[in-house]
Amino acid sequence: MSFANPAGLAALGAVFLVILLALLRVRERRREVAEIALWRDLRSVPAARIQRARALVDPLLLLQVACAAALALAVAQPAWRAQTERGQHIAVLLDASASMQAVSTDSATLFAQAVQVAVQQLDRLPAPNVSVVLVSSRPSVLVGPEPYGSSTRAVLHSSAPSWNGDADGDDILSALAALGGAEAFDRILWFGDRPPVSLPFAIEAVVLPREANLAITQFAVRERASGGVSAFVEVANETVEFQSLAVVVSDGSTRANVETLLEPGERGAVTAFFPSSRGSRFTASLAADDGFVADNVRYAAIDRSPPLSVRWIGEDNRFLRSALEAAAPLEFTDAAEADLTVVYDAALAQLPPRPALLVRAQLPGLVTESNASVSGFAASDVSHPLLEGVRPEEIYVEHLDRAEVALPHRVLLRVGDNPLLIEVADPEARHYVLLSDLTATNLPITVEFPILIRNLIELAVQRATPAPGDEALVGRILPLPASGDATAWGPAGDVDVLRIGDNELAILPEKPGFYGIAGPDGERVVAVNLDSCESTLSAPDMISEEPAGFAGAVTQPHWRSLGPGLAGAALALLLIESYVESSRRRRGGRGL
Amino acid sequence: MQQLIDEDFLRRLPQLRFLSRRRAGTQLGGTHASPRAGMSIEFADYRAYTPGDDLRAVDWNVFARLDRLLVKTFVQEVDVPVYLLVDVSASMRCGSPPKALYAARLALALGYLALRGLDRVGLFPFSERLLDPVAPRHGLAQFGRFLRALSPIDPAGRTSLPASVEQFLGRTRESGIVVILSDFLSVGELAEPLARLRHRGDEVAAIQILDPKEQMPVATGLVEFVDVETDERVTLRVGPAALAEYRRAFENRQHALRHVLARQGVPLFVTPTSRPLEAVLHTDLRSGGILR
Repeated sequence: MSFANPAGLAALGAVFLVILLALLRVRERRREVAEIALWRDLRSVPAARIQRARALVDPLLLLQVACAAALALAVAQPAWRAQTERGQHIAVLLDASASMQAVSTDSATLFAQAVQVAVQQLDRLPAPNVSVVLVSSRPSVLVGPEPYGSSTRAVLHSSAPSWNGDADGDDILSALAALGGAEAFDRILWFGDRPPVSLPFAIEAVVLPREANLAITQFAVRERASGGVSAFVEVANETVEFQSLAVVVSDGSTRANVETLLEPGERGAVTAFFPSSRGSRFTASLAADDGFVADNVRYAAIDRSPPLSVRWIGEDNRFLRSALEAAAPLEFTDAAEADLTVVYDAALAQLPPRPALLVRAQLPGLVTESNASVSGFAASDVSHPLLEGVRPEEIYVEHLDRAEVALPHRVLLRVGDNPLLIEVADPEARHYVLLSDLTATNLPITVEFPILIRNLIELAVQRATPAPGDEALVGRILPLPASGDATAWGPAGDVDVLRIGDNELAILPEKPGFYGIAGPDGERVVAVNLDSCESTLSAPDMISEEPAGFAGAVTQPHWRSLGPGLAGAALALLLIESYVESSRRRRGGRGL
Repeated sequence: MQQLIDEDFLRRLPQLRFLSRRRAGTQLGGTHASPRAGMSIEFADYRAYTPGDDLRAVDWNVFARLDRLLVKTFVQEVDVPVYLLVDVSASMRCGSPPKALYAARLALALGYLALRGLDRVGLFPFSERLLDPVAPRHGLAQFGRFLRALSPIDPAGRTSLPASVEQFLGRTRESGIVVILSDFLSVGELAEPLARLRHRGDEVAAIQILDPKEQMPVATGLVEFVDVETDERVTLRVGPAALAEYRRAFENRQHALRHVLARQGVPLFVTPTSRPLEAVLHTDLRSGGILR
């Protein structure tokens, strides 16, 4: 027997209070009489002789004491272990989540150990009817209700864990609902490494201890607006020793190695930067020799930014083109709606409608005098985002024609009094005009040039910050954005596209890795990973050097509470006491 | 102590008077002049003439019509004092309301009736002895003295009727109507004082005032009983059997009390304190021949 609320036993003090009150009541019952002779004579009546002990043992007092004791015990909520051998309808819940793939020192997976323990338990029972459910985030019924026998054992031994995450209460309820609900079973046995919580019914759980584990618990990549990709990796040391964890991050063509030292039970984060990466599929791998290898690799995908469309007018210039290509992927076009228009040594009738960089271009409102030129280092009188990181004094101009600008403008760089770089004031789009030929300056060979071009693209084109790629978990439905036909592939080849609802498509990834979805809007890559919960142990004390014994490792025994029964008994005693008391009063009340 | 009596109660009292055997007797008017002042003579009946009768008493009109000699008889009213002996011992403290309070109210009512009937009335509280008696007098002013004598009531001391009657006889030389109001719990010592009263010629009536729970106790469980007069203590376990035995013993004692009083020719009126005073006066005492 045990008590759910042991503090409630303090209420047993009420019993002593009842006895104390009874004693006080006996002492205080005193009556003055006018003449005592008649009462004195009653001493000869046997029933009236004083027997104090007997007087104390009043049936009413006994009832009151019993009632108080029952109430106090009801508050303490005693419970007794139910007899577990009586049930014949058994539901076996086998934890088939990914963590059950972990291998112990004897090379057996946790799942195999769970099967072994389950078989041992079932062998002890006299001919039970058994249902077996593989429990994970996608539970499945392995064996329907059938008499337990060799065929059941064979099915159990041939089963395997999934890559899915742990099941929650709803998952288990839905699986049992297919078998008639939890109430259809006399016993529900659960075997796994982490018992489910928040179940509305009692289960008997056999917990198998996990081995020490090293894991990548989170992996994410982000494309930086200024170019390049950052990778963030969270690693966990679920061992009892300090561990130096070496992580290799790859974008398919480039590898980055990062390392960190973690305390026992500690989690840490490392980052890797790919400054010129064009990849969209990233992999983080942990070089670890632990029992659970499934969480040593994680995947991440990103949707890369679309290329910058450039309309080039005039002569080609390889310095300018290289600087543009270094800043962003380019796609040259003749369309007027290009992201950026580049005009090099050409004449325009009017300013382009979209952002533009004009180098030594002839424009209405811009008059240059070719026979009057200046030379010297550039200077700037303004603070402008275009010049962020640019040092004007590093720019030398050998030949700059004097110019008269009739357009509304702002001078960003100048040589002497002559404008070198101006921003035309146009509310529709940003236009920047470089009045000198690049070959007449040292710009192509300075670091200021690529900085200036990068600033120009960020400022003029206003490209959106790249969004992080899609992420998904194994065993969870992955809806597809495509509404029409779509095809999908995964690590093991083609993947079936499921139709859910009226017009929605989805896939169910069963393994971690990259999945591609091809639809009317193009192809999209999704990284599917293991549920990070599978990598973590529920508590440090679950880390053990040796596998724990299996037999009878019941951590959630089936208890039956005696509280309601005791409360009912207390009520019944109270009613009986009231009846006895009222009967006494009817026969001759207590009042004097 | 609660208020003894109020005017409304007194106004509501019936027109009753004490009835004395001596006063109720018939005498030939004028034969023995009353030695006492205030007496009156009223016609009572006719009877046949016998030699020696006063010829003045012959009704000559009847003789003329019927030719028979009849003489008239008259009621001779004598002035009979009323003595109210009220027990104020500690035992009268018991009950709810206390028996002493009930006795005091009843005594005041009786005194008021007697005074209104032009009787001389005296009040004699007693316990172990007489306590501050009020000598018999006429007139309603006497009622005020009664009130002062009985208010406040503080019952105390043991009961001794023999000693009290001894003192009473020493203080009053004239016989009269003696009404004793007490709980009469000591039966053994009653005979001698009652005999002395009877010997003097007093007409004695006993009104026993009891608390209902003395007649029918309802106590149960372990009870310590304390005698309010002697402080003697008896602890008993009271149950149905003990209560039945008590009631049986109580009836036996009442029977003994009636026997002792009957031998002295003293009527007994048992009055529980729950009984209205009007009922006691109008029904019990009237039907018992004490009042009319």
